[in-house]
Amino acid sequence: MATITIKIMTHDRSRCAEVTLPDSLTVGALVYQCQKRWQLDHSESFAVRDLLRNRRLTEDDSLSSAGVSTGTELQIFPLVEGGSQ
Amino acid sequence: MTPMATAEELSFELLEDRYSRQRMMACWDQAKVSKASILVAGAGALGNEVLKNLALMGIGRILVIDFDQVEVANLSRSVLFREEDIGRPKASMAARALRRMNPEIHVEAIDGDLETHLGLGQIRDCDLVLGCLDSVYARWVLNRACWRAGRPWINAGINATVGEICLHVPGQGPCYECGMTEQMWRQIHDRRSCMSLPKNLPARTVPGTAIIASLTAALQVNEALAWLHGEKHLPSGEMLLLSLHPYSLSSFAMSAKSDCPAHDTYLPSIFIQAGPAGITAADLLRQIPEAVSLQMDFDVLENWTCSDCGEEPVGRRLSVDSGSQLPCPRCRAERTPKFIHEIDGSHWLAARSLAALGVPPRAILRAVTSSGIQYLELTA
Repeated sequence: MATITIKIMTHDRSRCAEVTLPDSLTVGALVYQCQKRWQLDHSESFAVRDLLRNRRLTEDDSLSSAGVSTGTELQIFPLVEGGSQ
Repeated sequence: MTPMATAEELSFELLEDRYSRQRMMACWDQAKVSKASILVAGAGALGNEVLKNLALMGIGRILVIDFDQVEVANLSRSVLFREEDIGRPKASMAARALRRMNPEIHVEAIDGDLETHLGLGQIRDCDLVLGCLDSVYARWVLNRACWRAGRPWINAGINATVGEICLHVPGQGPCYECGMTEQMWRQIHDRRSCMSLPKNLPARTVPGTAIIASLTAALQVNEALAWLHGEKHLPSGEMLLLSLHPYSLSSFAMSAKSDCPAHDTYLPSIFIQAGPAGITAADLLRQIPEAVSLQMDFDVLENWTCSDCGEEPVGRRLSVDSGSQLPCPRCRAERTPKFIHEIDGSHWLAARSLAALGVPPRAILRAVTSSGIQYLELTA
């Protein structure tokens, strides 16, 4: 199993970590781990973007198939749903 | 011969009218703005700011839809509402304020639900749709409707410190549904009971101020103006992310899903001069050559079945009220609903008007014919 070391942070930069992960981990599982460990708002949905390539990653993709490799910087951000109230 | 006047002698008077300052911008075409027709879905915090901007700039026709009423908590973020509007429909109150703000524009309001009161034909009449909604479900509904109607829409959403804007052009790049996460799908599935009856779940209350609403709405309208002028700032499917804490503004792309079920467009080839109240499914089918059946994009509750008391016919669009009819009125036992979404000319429901079945005005319907699917629009 290959591992990669990446940097991940929240969109507001309040939380940031350098982590070593299996590259088979899905983007969705990474989001879930961040929500859990960083106690992010569980009622909100989050997504991840690759800051170097400026692309949002697809939730079902593994980190390797999403093109994430050692040195990649990822940002987790909320998909906000407020507006009409 | 009269000598020519020097430049100093000529008096230049600027023609001042309502739009003269914005017309001074080289990139601005007031004729395009005045001819534009925009649908605004949602008249809450974001919708108020969006509508205000559209009216001030002189968008020729604005159609606003919202099912909700003005509440006291709206007043801190809604520039178009006043205390006396509390309890009254948001869309109508917003439309009234816009007409006062700019009598030169045409404003229409639909005090109803996006899903049940807005026909795809009404979306097709608009150049652009601006989504100012408050739930994943409403955005999912609007996204599908815009794709079917073949009209671009700009989604916006806010929380306390973040605003997001994304343009979705049917046929170009990812749609809203392409970017939905598992958690967002769960929110949609949670709206149905185990018997597939819709539950009346209120939208999640999101914290927010007029600041994030006005900033996000300004960017959303700016993108709308760029679209109307043929100058897209954001490629379709690229999200603009605005943050107040810390300040940042960035945009990034995402991928379309090749198997996304939302990517179909209903291009009507048959136009029926009738409204849903004035025509039955059977009458409609008789007007279409080789018609076999009529397909609806929603479930019709055909009947309830009680194991002891038998069947009770219903024949109405499935709604949040349907769940209250689950217990049998005679024996109070739980009944089983039967749904239908395709009706042929001989079905008992074909004798009902389309309005009674829950078809909205200006709907675009799918008719199955022996030579394939035909899309037909109710134009009255």
